[in-house]
Amino acid sequence: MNSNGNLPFPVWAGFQFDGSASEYFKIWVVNVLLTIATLGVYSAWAKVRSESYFYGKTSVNGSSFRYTADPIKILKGRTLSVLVFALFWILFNFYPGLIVWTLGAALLLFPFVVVASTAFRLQNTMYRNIRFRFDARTIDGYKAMLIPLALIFGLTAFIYGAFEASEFAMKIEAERGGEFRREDMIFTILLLSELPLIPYLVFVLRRFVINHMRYGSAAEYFVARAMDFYKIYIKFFVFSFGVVIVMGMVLGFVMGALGLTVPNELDSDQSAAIAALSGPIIAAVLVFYAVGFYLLGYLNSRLMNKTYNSTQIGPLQLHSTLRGRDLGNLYLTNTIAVLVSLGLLIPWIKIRMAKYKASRTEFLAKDMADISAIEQSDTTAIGEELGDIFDLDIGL
Amino acid sequence: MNIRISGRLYDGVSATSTPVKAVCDGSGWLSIEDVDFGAITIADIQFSERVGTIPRTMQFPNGKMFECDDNDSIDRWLSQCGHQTSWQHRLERNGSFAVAALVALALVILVSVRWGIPQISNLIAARLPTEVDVMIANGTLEALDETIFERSKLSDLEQRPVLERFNQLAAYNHEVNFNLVFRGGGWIGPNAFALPNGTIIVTDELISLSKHEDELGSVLLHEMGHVVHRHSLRQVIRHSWLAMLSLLIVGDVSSAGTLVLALPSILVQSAYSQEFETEADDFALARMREHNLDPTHLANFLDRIERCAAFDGDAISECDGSATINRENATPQTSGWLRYLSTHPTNERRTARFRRPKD
Ligand SMILES: [Zn+2]
Repeated sequence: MNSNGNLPFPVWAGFQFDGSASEYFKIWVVNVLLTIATLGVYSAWAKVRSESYFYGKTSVNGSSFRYTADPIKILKGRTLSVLVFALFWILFNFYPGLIVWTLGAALLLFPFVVVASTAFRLQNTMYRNIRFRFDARTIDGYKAMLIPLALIFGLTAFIYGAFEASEFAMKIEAERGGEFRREDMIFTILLLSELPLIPYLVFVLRRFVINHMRYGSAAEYFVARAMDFYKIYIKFFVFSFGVVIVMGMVLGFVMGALGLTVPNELDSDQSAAIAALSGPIIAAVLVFYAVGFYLLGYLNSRLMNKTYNSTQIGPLQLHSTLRGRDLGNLYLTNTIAVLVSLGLLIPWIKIRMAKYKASRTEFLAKDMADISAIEQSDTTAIGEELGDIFDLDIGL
Repeated sequence: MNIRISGRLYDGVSATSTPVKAVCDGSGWLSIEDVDFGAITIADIQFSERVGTIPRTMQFPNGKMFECDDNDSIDRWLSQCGHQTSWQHRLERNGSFAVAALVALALVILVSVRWGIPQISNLIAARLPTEVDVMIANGTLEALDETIFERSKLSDLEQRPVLERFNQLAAYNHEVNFNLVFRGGGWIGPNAFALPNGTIIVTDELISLSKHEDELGSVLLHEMGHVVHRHSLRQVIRHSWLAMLSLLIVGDVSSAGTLVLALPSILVQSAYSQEFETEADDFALARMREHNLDPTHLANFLDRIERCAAFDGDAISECDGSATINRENATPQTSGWLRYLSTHPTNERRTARFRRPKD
């Protein structure tokens, strides 16, 4: 629907997703029941069947994708990641003093998880009898993420050191009679100083993953710059900030108009005042959530469009035209649907989301016939499953 | 009898798609019309699993692949040659099985949340040595001192009677090393906390609110109940099981969002912690009767604390699932559906039990 003259190539093919909610619902119910009945063992098979369904129902130019993972490999990976997860669980709960070191160790595992899980997913993706693959080794992942990781670790160490060495914090704490606490201050400073690294981290991650993707002999190239991602995040923060201010003003105005104040006297009808107050506050929280979905929709649509529109696969150019308000609508209605249906509509929302995303993604190109197949070996499922249990969605 | 299936052939060398017709005969041989392909026996073909109505593929030993949307014809050929449809697909296409599975699922979730998780967690907790409780408490007091508490402003003279009362009440128990500390409550105000290693923290604000020594004593007993019943440990274990269960149910639906998952697990968690509060109340009630104390003191005290929490206007979030402390005063939302989000039973329900005459 976007084949206007501004595009570099004519539209070669749009993505199509023609899964049906009722069909997937039956697959999903069986998956969940067997997974619980086998205490999680079946989850590996459930994953393969579920992914197979979504891949198989996604097609471009008359051919669909295939997910070919071996459930046994997924099970092995899942077993290992459960062990790693248990280790972190024990560290978090029983050694709270080590929390900084635990988080640091988890961060150090991150590049490995990204490489292994991306490789596993891509190697098990086929289109027209040709496999995708990921030609990076673990060491490449560490090299690619060296700068962001070094920045995070370095900044943390530097701020901690500087903070402890200077007497600035102690002074403020003493002067203000404990109103400002050192721990709060250092946390705020760390957060504020490392927040600006997020767009860079997202950019580096996507560039690394896409630049190492292969489809047959066709290499993929990522042509975005870090600046593009900063622009998206800055706009997102400005919007969010604006929304918070406007909402605060509206809430204050409404409360003022209703003659409500925060109770500051211990009087007999204070509980009535609180009851009256809780209505607008609950309403405000709900509106906040709803607006949050649209803000998130804006952010995710821009990130995905930027990523796809900067990706070239050999002679093909990916093209995505997601819209923030569409995603916001989907997030909001999906959440309500799942809550109201007690989870029964989870299959429906997954189908809906896949349909929308496919309808807004297309290929621009002239010809794809010259992409030829390349032999490759299998990798283990370890990384993929680590990525799964820790919910590291790298959004590709 | 021959089965003819139309589909697409991919040679595995290029990404071109060729429309073809596969001819499958009853003795298990496959050939492809108008293509120089030879004949391939069914034993050499890798069939993809049937999942819903997604396209089915046959992978041949020569590297070529046949793909079609006609799942039924392929299944017919397979069954002609003595192969069965996968049991998963037979379950997945069966509407009445889906309904039965749904009912079973609801039952399983209900039973495991209501009985399974609490029982298993209690069993595990009973098998863990008390050193584990001490481990959970490690560093908690230091962390609380750094983030919340202030130094107590009470003099030794003011602290002594409370301490004496505490030691008296704690004397009967030799298994737990009870220990009372005084702190300024900061923004938390009148409150008491129990750490799993037996350290009990009372805030100055709480002490100044009490109008009778047995009022404070009853709260101290309630806190001891948390320690004796090892609530922190049991809570950590229960929450982990709960997280595991929701992971099993939702599986790979990361896209469904964590918010959707968060609400039901908050509800279950607050139900669990209400259960613990009731258990600690029971403990306090039993000890008070043993010591011949009037249980209405706890009721009066809770009422007063509640009024003051409202007075402060500090609606402390009770849903933050802090695993290692048990916070005492409830938020002032005593009515409506918000009650279900509270970690404590409503005050009315709680105090009613203490005002009831001895049965
Ligand atoms: Zn309690």
